[in-house]
Amino acid sequence: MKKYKKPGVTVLIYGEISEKIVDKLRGFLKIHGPRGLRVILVSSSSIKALEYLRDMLLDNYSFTLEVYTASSDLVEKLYNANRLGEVVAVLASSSEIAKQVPSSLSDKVIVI
Amino acid sequence: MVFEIIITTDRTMMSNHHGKEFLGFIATGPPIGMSEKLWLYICAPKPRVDELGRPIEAPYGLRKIEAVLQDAGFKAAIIDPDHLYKHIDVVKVVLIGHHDYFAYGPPSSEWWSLTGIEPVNRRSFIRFMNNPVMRRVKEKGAKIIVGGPAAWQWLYELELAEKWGVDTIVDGEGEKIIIELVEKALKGEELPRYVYVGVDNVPSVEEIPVIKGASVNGLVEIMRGCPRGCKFCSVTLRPLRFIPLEKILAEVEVNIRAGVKGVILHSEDVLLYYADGIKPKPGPVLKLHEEVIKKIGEKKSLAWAHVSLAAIKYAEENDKLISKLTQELILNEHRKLIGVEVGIETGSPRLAREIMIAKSKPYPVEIWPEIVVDAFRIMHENMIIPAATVILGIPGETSDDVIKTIELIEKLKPYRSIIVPMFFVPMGALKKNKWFLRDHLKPEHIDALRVMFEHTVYWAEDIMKIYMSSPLYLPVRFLLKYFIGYVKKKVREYTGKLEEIVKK
Repeated sequence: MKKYKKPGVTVLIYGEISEKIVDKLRGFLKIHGPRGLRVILVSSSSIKALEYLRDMLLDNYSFTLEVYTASSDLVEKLYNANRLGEVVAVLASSSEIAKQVPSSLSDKVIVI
Repeated sequence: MVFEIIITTDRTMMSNHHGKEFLGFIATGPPIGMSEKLWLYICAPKPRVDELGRPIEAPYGLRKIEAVLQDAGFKAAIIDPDHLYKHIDVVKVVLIGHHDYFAYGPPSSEWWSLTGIEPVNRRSFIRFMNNPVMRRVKEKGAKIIVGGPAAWQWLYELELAEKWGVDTIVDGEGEKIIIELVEKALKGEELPRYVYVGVDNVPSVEEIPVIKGASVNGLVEIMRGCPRGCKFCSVTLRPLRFIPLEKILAEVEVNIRAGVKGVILHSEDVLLYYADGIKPKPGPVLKLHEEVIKKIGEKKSLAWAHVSLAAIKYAEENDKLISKLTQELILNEHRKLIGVEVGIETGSPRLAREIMIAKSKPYPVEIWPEIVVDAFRIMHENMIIPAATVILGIPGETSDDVIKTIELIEKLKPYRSIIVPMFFVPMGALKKNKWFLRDHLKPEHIDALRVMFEHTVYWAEDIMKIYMSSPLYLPVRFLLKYFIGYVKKKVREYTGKLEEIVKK
């Protein structure tokens, strides 16, 4: 059996998820979905964080989509170990929160 | 011997339903008229298991996951929920599958919304997850991964997922992703909270494994996906794959060796096996049945999971395929009927055009009611007994659409069948115990419900006599007969309640 094809693209989300962030995420899914999308909710350890994404997740019938919750430290480690594929964006809910983003990813930050 | 990876589910799924698949659907109802214990006795008796708690028959989807994991070299097995304790000290990953975890699927949500009482399958699953053994397994650090066709329901029950320590929700075909997830879990790596398996990660026909142990009532998959594209159905979005005959026969063989007493050919449309688009091809369908019957002999039962009504009509009118299958191959003194699920969904060609334009193909959607009546007549003449669904409350549905549905159901009266309503139910409404019908119910819906109920009760006893003719089924038949009597009395009360709601 051929191996599971891991998502090739990652979007990181820092801070609270808003409708604007979900809209942006939908856009990324449309563009990058064929390569598979990994979404990492940073700083949230609860599976309940999925609640905000529910409608978006249920609307997707085509693309491989993985959602993680992880700490900022772990994200940095995974990024440095090249385990996140291409990080296309880091969505942050405020400029204050954006300060938590590791410096290696700072050029990808979009404050929404 | 013990297992690091356990695949399991609750009692309503882990049962062979007395060898009668249809009885399994009774778990979708709320326990009214008799105790939950009796209810479970009817729909979900405990299966036979070996000394390790491995059931002789287990749900087909779980069998597929078990097969890929064993082929990949993992120590994995399906374990009956009552025997999990035997593996408590070594289990590292628990994989759970279900058709309807929280009763949000049809027809559970319909019975729930009509009665306001939680269905048996939901109660049973919640009990299973709260069970001290499951809690102990979690406390000891095992990872819990949930999946199957009802995986989406977890997105409406995230609090429970949190409470029970569910690590990952997997939506979609699991053969490839499960190896990745189990490897990660065993290595202690971060697991995703949610995975949707996209079309690029579904297994090819060659990658779909042959099951290693028997499936419940001998269910065997002959196709995946469906070409009809109905808007309310997600199966249609999966790539269409035909399972080669040799794989099907290998799985039938697995079931026969385990002593299973029949075969259920599973597909969204059995007649489309190796079809030419949506036109059934007699050759492959006949060959499939000939070969399966050669394997199972004269005495074992044979059923179809689903078939489309347009395919029934087309196959009979063009090739006499239904008569050939039933009269020349399937039916005999031991096999007196073929059970199957079919979708009527609506009697309105206007609505059919909106939501399921290809369901009538190769016929035009304008003659959808005629297709339904013809297909029911053909099935009746050939002892195929359908359990049919009708969807009420689809967004955009008008009163006129519902009236057309009622007229169609009335035309089906002469044909032996069960007709079940399905409501378009907003999930949040059920969870919050809101009486969703207040906002969605039309007076015509009550008439439609009544007509469907009368149709089903009219045929129920006749069907029971044929379906469960053996004296072994007398206790179950007795309970079902009692239940039908009870519901007959209660239905006036419920429809009265519904009428009051509509008036308000």
